[in-house]
Amino acid sequence: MLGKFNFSQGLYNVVSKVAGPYASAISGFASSVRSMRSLSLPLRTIVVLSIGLWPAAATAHTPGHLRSNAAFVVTNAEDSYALFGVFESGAEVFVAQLRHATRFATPVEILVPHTDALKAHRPAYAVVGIGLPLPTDEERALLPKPLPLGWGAVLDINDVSPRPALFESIMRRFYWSSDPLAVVFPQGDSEIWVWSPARTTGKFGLGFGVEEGGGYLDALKDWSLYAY
Amino acid sequence: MRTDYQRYALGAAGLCVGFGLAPSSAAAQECMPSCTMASAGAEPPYAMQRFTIGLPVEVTVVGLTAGIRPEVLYRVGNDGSRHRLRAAVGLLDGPDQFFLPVDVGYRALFNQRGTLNGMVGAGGEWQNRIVSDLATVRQYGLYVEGGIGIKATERLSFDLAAALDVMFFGGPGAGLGMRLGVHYAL
Repeated sequence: MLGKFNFSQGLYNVVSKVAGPYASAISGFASSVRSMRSLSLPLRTIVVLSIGLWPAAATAHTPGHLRSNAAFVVTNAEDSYALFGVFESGAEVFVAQLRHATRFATPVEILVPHTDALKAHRPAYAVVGIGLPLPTDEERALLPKPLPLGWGAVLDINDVSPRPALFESIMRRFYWSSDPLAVVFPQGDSEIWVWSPARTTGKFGLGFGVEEGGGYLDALKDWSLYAY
Repeated sequence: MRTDYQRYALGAAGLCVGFGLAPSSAAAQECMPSCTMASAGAEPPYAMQRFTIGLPVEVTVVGLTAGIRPEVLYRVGNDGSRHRLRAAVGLLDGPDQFFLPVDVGYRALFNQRGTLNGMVGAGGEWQNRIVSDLATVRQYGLYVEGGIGIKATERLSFDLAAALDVMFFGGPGAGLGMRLGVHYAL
């Protein structure tokens, strides 16, 4: 026999359990406020629910800040990353360093915020390392810096047309994509270089990897970089 | 990248809500005594005094947008009841999208007789995100809200609120919006 009271009590108990240690603290605080003392059980459920909802969608790509003056060292190359940077002059070369225990296939793409100001901003990238195919002379000329001896490269100059657009539901932003390209990373060390062939400036994102492990708490460290 | 019609829609909607509020406010001031008397008797479910209209200005901080989220509240129960049903439609614009959320939910009001009052609520939300070169993104989920209000007159109050939403279908994600608005009890 499921009366209204029993259902509410059950829902309250379940939500309290999910919300973890925060729930009891918030519930306790809420009950200490005079105007909240008269809250009925369903309304207390709302208060606890507001705390419990937040972590529900917390798993996402691991965010990171790409800077032109230092390489970004990827600590777990199997995870999926969304590394963001800003071309200030258009002449920068951003570098992410990876190390794979075995050959590893993963999609790689460049993202650019879907705004009028960045309509012509099309950063390119190259995956470089030993074991990758040697570039042609034409490809080698496109690279932003000389390739070390014996290294190969896989390039994407981000010129697909029409330009694909996508919605990223964690940060709730729209981006233009270079179109994901499946790249087989070699065993051992490799790098991803990002540069702006047309010397355009502005924000960009570099996405790669498979397993989602990051989330809101990581993004809060540099919120404006990822969110705006 | 927004389209021109999205900008026009935002402006037109703002004007409509503005014009709709002003005459109602004046009329309500004039008929206040008779309305008060009417509420003392039996109150039909469709009585105007059950309704409150609100015009909050909102900024969303996950997926940056700003705009208005007009809402209608319907009092459930007798005069003095804290229970409200809520319906709202947002018109918010951002650097990369036009955001059109639709809410249906419940709100509880506290200390309605006092100058400082509070509210909490929850409900369902349908989010539409529009850009020029991609199909409209539609997401479905829940929201919870809480806020405080300052009563300026018996019918007019100014409010500050925060709303948290979590979308479960159409792309997972959570968002936060801050609202500053005015509410008028009809």
